Amino acid sequence: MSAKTRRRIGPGVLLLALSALVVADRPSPTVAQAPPGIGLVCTPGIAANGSVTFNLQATSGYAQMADGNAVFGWGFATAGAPFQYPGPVLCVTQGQMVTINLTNNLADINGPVTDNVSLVFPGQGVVTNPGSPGVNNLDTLVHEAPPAVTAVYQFTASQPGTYLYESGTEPHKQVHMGLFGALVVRPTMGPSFAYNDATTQFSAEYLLVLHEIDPDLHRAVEQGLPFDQTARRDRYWTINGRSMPDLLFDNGHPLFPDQPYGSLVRVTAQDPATPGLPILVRYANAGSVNHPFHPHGNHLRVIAQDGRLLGAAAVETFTKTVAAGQTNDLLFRWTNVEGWTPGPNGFMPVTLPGLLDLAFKDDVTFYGGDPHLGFLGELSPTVTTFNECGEFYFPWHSHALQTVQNFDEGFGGMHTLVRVDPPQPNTCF
Amino acid sequence: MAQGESPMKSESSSHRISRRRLLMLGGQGALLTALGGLGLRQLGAQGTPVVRRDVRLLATDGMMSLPGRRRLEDNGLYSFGFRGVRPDETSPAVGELEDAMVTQRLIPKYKFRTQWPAPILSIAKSIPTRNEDFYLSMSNLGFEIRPDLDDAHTIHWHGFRNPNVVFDGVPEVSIAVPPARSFPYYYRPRHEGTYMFHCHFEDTEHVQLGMDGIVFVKAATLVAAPFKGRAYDPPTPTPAGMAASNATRFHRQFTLLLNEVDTRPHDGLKNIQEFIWSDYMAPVDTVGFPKVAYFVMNGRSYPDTIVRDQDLAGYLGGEFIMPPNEGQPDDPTPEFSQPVSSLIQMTAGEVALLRFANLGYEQQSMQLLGPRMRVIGHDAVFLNGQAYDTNTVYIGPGESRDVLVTAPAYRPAAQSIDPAGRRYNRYWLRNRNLQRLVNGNEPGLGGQVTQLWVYPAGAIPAQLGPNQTV
Repeated sequence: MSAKTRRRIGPGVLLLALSALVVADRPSPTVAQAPPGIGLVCTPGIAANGSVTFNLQATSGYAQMADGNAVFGWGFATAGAPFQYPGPVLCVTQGQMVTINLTNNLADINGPVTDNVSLVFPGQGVVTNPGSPGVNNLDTLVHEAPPAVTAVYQFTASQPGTYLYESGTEPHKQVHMGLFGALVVRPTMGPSFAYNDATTQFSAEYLLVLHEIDPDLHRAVEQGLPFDQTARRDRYWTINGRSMPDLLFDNGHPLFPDQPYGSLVRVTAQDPATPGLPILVRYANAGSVNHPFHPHGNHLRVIAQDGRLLGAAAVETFTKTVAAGQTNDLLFRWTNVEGWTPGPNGFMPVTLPGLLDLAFKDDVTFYGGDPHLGFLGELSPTVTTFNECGEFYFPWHSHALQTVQNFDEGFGGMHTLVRVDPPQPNTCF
Repeated sequence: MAQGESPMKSESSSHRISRRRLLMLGGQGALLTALGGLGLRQLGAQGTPVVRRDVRLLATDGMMSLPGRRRLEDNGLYSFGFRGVRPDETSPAVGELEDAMVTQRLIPKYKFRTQWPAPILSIAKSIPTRNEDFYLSMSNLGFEIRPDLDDAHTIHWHGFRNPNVVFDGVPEVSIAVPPARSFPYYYRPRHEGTYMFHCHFEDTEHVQLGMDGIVFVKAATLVAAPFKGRAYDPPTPTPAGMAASNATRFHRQFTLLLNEVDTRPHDGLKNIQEFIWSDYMAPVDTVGFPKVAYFVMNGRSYPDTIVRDQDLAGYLGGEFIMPPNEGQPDDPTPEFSQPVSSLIQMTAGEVALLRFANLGYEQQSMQLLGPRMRVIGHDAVFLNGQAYDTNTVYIGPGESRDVLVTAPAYRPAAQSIDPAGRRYNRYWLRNRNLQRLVNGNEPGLGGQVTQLWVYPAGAIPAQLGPNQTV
C-alpha cells in the first residue's frame, strides 16, 4: 500500500524504541527492586517455611495500544499496586505450598461493578480454599471473590514449568479483559534449569505471554453494556501486554506505567565449534485462538508443553503453533555458521548494491549499515538507525499475519525481535 | 541459425532449454529453477569445491484466475507476486552486469505478468566436501495497475537458519529493494527439507496478495533407480536398527502450498481503497463489504487444481494464458498465470513425497481419503523415530510437513479414464474443514481439493521435476 499510510508509525515512535534498548533498570510498579531491562521479571512472594504467599487484587485501568488508542481493562496486580496488564509473573519453587489471597477491587476505579472474580490454575492439580470468605459458584464450582472480598487459593507447586493463572469467572469476558498472568515453577535442580534435567540448563530466560484485544468488548464492559461474543473481532495482539513496537521498550519503562513487561529477546552469537548454553523462552498463550509463533534466524527446540517435558517427543521447529491456553518451553540459540568477518578470507561472498539502490522502510532501520556481525557501516544521512554495535535483529512473530497489525497498521501486533550480539569481547554492553 | 530463432538468442548460452524440451515439460514455468540456472564449479577460499547456481526472481503485479473470478471475463483477481525469467531466455548471473540495468531491461516484458505461486525453488544441499551456493537475485519491476505505489520488496526464506540479516529479507531490520532495482540474496543451505519464501515488506499485504512460494533443499545422498531422490539424508551416525537410508525415498514429488484468499484487499488495491487488516476474513468488513473467500493449493482452487500441465493451454479457452504486454512480441510458448498443478499422479506401489507448506493466515487440516500419509518431516527437520502415520495433516501458518504416500494396488473395478485415455484409480486430498471447500459464492465443490490418480505399474512415464504432470 502507499507510502502515506505506512508513515503513520514514524521515526519518532521508533526513536523512543531505541532509547528503550539502551536505558535499563527503570523502576517498576510491581516489584520492589529495579527489574532487569529485558527478560523474565519475577514477582517474588512472601516465603516462609517451604511455602510462599502472594497478595493480589483484581482491579481496572487502561492499557495503551501501539497506535495511541487506550483500552480499558481488568487485571491482576499486587495488592496495593496499580492495575497492570498482564498480571504479575509469579515465581515459585517446586514443592512449595503456594497461597494466593485475591481481593476483588474491580469496582474501585470505574464505579459499580458487581462481578465476582476468581482464580484457576491450569496444570496445578488440587486447589483448596482454606479459611476463605469467598463463595463457590454453583454452576462452575469455581471459588470466587465477590466485590471487596478476599478469597484464598492454595496448592502445592509439584511440577516445574511454565503455567498460566487466570480468572475462572465468565472467562470469555474476564480473561479477555486481562485477568490472567504467568506462573513459573522452578525445578529443585536450580533456577538456571527449566526442569529437573541437565539438558534444560539455560543462560537467560524470556517469557512471552500472548493475548488478543477486541476494543469493542472492552468498551462494552467499561460502559456496562452487553456484548455479543459471537461478534468478537480482535484488533490488537499483544505479547506481555504490549504490541510492536511498544514491546521493545524495557521492562518497567515509564512510558507504559501499567504494562510493565517488555518482550525483546537477546542472545549472543555462538561459535559453531564451541556452542554455549541456549536461552530458554517460555510461551504462554492466554488468548482464545491459536498463535503460530515463528522466530527468524534459527529453529527452536520445543522441550516442554503445559509444564511437562516432552522427552523423546521434543521437536525442532521453525514455527510452533501455540494452542489457546497452552504453554511451551523452548530452547534457542543463534550460531554464527559462516563466521563472515571483514578481511581477505572472511568477507561474505556477495557485494551489496550501493545505498542509492536500496530502500530503508520509512527511513528508519535496525540495520547497522554493514552486513558483518559486529561492524557498523555507512547509511544514507536521511536514514535513522537504532543499531548500536553491529548487532543483528531478527523478527520473532506470529505467522497469522493479520495479527502483526495494530488495528490497520503493519509491523505491529504480535511481533517482537531477537537481538543477536556479536561474540564477546564486543562493544555492545 | 535455426529457423525462428533470433540472432540474439543464438548467441545465448548453452544452458538454455530447447523449445522442444520446454514443450515436453508442458511449458511449466515453475520448473525453470529446478532445471535451469547455472551450475558453475569453482574452488572456495579453503579449497572446498563450490557449486554456484544463479536464479532471478521478478517482483510485479498481475491478474489471477479463480472460479467466479475469471480473467477472460475481465473479472480476474488483482495480485502481487514473484515470477522467473522465461527458461528460453538467459538471465545474467548476479554481478555479471550492472544489476539496475538488468532490471530496467526486464520491465517492459515482464511487468504485470506475475505468477502464483512463485517458482518452485529446488536447491542443492551443502556438505563438508562441497559447498552449494545459491544466488537469488530479486528484481523489483514495480506495479502496472498501481504505478502510484513505491512498494519495495524482499525475499524472506522462511525457516532458513540465516547467518546474516541482509539475506533474511525483513525490511525493518535490514534492506529492501525499491522499484527498478534488484538485490543479490545469497544462501548456503546446510539442512534439507521443505521451506517456504515470501516477501516481508508490508508482509500482511504482500503475502496475502500472492508473493509467496515453496523452496526445498534436496538431500545430498544419491538413490538408485527407479527412485528419484530422498527427502532427508540419513542422520549421522545412523541410529541402530533404523532403515534410515531408505526411509525417505520417493519416486515422485509434489509441493502443495496452501493459502487463503480474502478478495477484499485484492479488489481494494486495484480500486485504490485501503483494507483494514484486522478485518481479514471478517464476515463483513468495517466499510460494509461482505467476505468472499477462496482456499487455494498452489494458487489454484478446485477444480482448477487438477488440471494437467498438458491441458492448461486449452483449459477454459485459454483462461490461464497470460497475454504479452503491449508492444512486446508474442511468447514462443504460452505462459500461465498459475502454472503449478496439484494433481498427484503415480503408479501402484510408488512412493510420492508431498511437501506441504501453509502461508495462509489460518490453520488447515488436510485429509487424504485413501492411503495413509506418513509424516516424516516437520519444518524441514527429519522426524526420524517420531515419524507417524495419519490421514489428516494439521498444519499452521508458516509451518511445513514432508509426507510420504505409497500408492495402493491398482483396482480395475474402480477405474476412471484420464484426458490421455489412460485408466486410473481416483483418491481425494482435501481440506477437512468442509466450510472451506468452496469457491467464493460459486455453487459446487471447490477450494483446497485435489486428487491422487493411481495408474497400473508402468502406465505413466517417470517424473522429470516437482509437480510435473504426465
